[in-house]
Formats: sequence, C-alpha cells, structure tokens
Amino acid sequence: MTDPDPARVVADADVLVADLLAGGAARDALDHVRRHSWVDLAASDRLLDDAEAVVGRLADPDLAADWRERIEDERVAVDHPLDDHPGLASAYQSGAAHLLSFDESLRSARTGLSLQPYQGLSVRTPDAFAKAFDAASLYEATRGGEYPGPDRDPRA
Amino acid sequence: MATTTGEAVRDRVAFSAGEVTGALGDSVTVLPIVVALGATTAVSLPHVLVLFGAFQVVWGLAYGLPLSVEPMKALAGLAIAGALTAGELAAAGLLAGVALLALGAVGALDRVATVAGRPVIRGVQFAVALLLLETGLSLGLASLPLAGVGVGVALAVSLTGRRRTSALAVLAVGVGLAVAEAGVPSPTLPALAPFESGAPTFTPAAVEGTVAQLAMTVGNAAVATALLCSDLFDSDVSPDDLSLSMGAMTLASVPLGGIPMCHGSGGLAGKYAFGARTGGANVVLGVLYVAIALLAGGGLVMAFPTALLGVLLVVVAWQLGRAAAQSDDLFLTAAVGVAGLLVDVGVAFAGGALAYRYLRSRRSRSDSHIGLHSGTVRVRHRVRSLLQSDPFLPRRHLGSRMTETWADLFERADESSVDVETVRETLRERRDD
Repeated sequence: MTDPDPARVVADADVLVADLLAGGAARDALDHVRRHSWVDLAASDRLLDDAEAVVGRLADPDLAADWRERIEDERVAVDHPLDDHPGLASAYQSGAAHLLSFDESLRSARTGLSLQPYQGLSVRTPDAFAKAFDAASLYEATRGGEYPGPDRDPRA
Repeated sequence: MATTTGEAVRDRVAFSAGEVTGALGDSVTVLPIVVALGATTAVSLPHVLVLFGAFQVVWGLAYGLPLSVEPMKALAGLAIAGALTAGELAAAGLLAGVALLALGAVGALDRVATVAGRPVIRGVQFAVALLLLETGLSLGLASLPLAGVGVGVALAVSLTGRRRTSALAVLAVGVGLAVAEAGVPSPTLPALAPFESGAPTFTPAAVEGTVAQLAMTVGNAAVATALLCSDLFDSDVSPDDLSLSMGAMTLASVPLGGIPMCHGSGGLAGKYAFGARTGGANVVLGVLYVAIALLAGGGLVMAFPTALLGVLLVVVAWQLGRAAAQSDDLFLTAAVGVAGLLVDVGVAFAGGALAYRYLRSRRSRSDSHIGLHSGTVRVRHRVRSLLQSDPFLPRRHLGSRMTETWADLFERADESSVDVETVRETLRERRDD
C-alpha cells in the first residue's frame, strides 16, 4: 500500500453540491482547498456526474453545467470501475488522505475498518475537516519550509 | 495594462487582411455618432476624428489588442438631442475623465456598477435611445422621400444579415449625396486650439449627464470589455486598467477639441467579428480616421442631408434600445427611459437608483446576499450571450475559458434555498436508482 497524500482531498458528491447550493461547512472545507494551489481535489467523472445531476435537479441545469465546467478545470481526474462507490473509489484511486462526506455510513467504524487495510483514508464531515485543517503544518509536512500563506483567491 | 509586454511588437501589431477588415468593426459604432454630433452641434468633426485616430493608434500599440475607442454614448446622445451644449459636453467629459482616473486608481469600479443597478443603467441607455429617436424622427420629416431611401438602405442591409453595418450604409449614402452637392473637399488640417468647440460649462445638466454616463461606462466599457479581452484574446486587462486609460484619454481629448471617449465592448466585439486580432487594426483605423478628418471640414458636414441624418439617428437609437432591452427588470428600465425623455435624464437616473435600492431591500434574504459581484456576474452572462448569439464568432471561443468564478457560481446558486439534508436525500435517490 502506498502512503496517502495528505494534501489530496476527495469531496463526495453531497459535499460538492452543498458547497455550491447550501454553503456552510461544506464551503468552509472546500475553501481551504481553493485557497491553496498545492492542495488537490480529486474526483472521478462518475462522482462529478452525480453532483451535476443533483445540482441540476435542485437548482437548474445551466448552473449545473457551468459548475461542471469549472470543477473540471480544477480537479485531479481519476478513473475507477463503474460499480464502485464514486467517493470511496476516487479517494482510493487518487491516493487521497481525506474523504469529505455527509454520509454517516461512510464514516462508520465498520467502513473505517474495512478501508484501513487498503489505505490510511480519513473520512470526515466537512465541518470536522474545516476545523482540523492546519495549512501551516500540512505545508511543512508536504512541501517543507515555512508556510507562505494562502496563494489563491477562493472566489476567483 | 495588458500582460503581453514580453511579446515582440510584431506579434501584437500585425497588418494582415483581417486587421484591415477588423478596423471597420469599430467604425460602425463610431462614425454615425460623430458625424451626427458634427452636424447637429458645435463640435468640430475634424478635431474629433483626428483624436479618435490618435487614440486608436495609442491604445493599439499600448495594449497590443484591437481595443475599441468609441464616443461616450450617453453624453454624445444628450448633445445630439440638444440636452447638452457643446460646452456642457466638454465639462461632462472632464468630470468623467477625472472620475474614471480616480475609480481606476482605487479599484472601485465594481462597487459603482452595483450601487447604480443594471436595470437603471439600462434605463439611461433607453432614455438616450428615446431622445435620439425623437430627434431622428423630427429630422427625418425634413424630406420624407429621402428618409424613405435611408430606411430602405438600412432595412436592405439588415436583411442581408449585416445588421451592425446598417448605420454605416446610411452614412455612406449620405456622404455620397453630400459630396455630390458640395464637391470633393480639399484636404485641410484642423487648427490646433484649446477647446475648439467651446469652453467647458459646468452646469447641473453636465453633472447629471456625467453621472449617467459613468454608470454606463463602468458596466459596459470597463467590466464587459475586460471580460471580452480575456475571453477573445486571453489577455489580462483589468477593468481598472481600462478605467485609467479611458480617464486619461478623455482628459487629453476634450481640451484639444475632442469628445469624451471610452473603450466599448461592442466595438471590441465588432472588430473581432470583422477579423481583427492585434493592435494593427487600431493603427489602420487610426490612419483612416485622420484621412477622413482631413476631408471632413468645410461644407461637407453641412451638406449631409438632414433627412438621412434623421434615419441615421433612428438606426443608432434602435441599436441602443435593443441593448437596453436586455435588462433584468424591464419595467424599471422602461420607467427610467420614459422619465429621462419626458423629464430629465439625471432626475430619471437618480429616481431610478433610489427605486432600485428600495426594490432590492424588499427582496428575500437570499436575494439580499447578492453583493458587489452582481454587476460582474450579469455582465459576464451578457458577454456570454453576446458571444453565443454572434454568428461571426468562431465556436471555439465559447469553450472552457468562459468558465465562471466561484463567486459568480455561488451568487447564482444563492437563488435556490437548499439545505444539506435535501442534498443528501437527492443524492441517495440518484445512487439508489
């Protein structure tokens, strides 16, 4: 098993949609990612298909299409078998250390135990991730040197 | 300024066939208005054209892009309609120039657009269109048969799918008739004198016109043009850069006998549609304007048929009115426009801005989240729809570089009140299917 990349994050479709439509903790969490060019957001096409469909259903298809266009510019694309869970499989295939989800079943001890043999993936709620995210420590651990501060506008 | 400073000048200023035809794209917007100004006011057309030519070259070389140089349409329209004298036009130009320099220096453009409210800005456009329409109709009555010829030419050109050039076609017919009557003029250099068209007169009307024009310039000339520079030329020109150059240009132009000028998005899109890709189109158009200026003095402008001038103004009014019809709030836009025609453009603008603020404050909490980005978002959508509806523009320019900012996306999403539980439930349903 390869070590997971602590600077790589997967947000399941519910978090991606909540980031766009609901704000709150999901947006706080993904703002950490958007603020730092060295933190990756990984996602498969299947995961984005799910999120786009939900945005289209709850808001409008034009917004969903524009969101898809934007997120595709930024994500690290990964591929996985069709029947796999898009969030878990995206995390597994990309070697991400964090999977953000509102789905309690993914955060259960049972799921955690079943995933641990494959990789050290941490499944968290966006709120927990947002509070625990320590950019300075993460930068020192992954890039080395002193953390220079955010290098991107999260609204750009 | 543009981020193309490292490129060779030859890459930024080319002289291909596309640059030559592209130069026409801007003149379509400029020539009908400045000729009408020259014919109906004390403004000196040769001086105006020389300065348009000079600044075409200046900005073409400075930005390396076919940036447009257009008259400030609200001020020009008010002057043509007689609501501003030439002196008031000069004063309004100086005020606008100072304001644009200040706004560009402190980076406050988006804020101004938001405070004014786009439906109100559209209303000002509509008011100017109505004033031009009224003036055009009264001039057209001078000779109904000739006006009929002008309308026929405009309609014929529009029916061939070249709607943008219909005003230019009417202008060409008018120039032809003027030359037939007055003869081919001998080239004359316009004399250099300060405030050739009259000393600036600072009146309430000049101030009102300035405020109304600034509201239009910020949205249409600064923000929309910056977006087009990015989308069509992948060039990083900020609205504040454009504001600074418009301010400097107007402050330099007005004392030398010119009129207030701006970088309109319509002219830039027109140049692109006609093939321009570099600042070379500006150099070509600059030389062309100066050449026309040499011939535009004397009796040629006075010989321009009044009825055709009326048709020209109606066509320009129609084009301005169509832009105003893109408003998000047609009722407010129409109210501002009609009040501007019947009462006063400045009063209509102030009243419209107050009404806009009041209507906004009554909206739901979710709408009240719409903040400083709303102007940019709507302009971006307008630019997108402009590009998508333009048959001249290649499809490849509607691709990935039109992606929106996160701020834009979040603002649009604000309109749908969705909670996390609904998101989870909807996703669960999809994945269970």
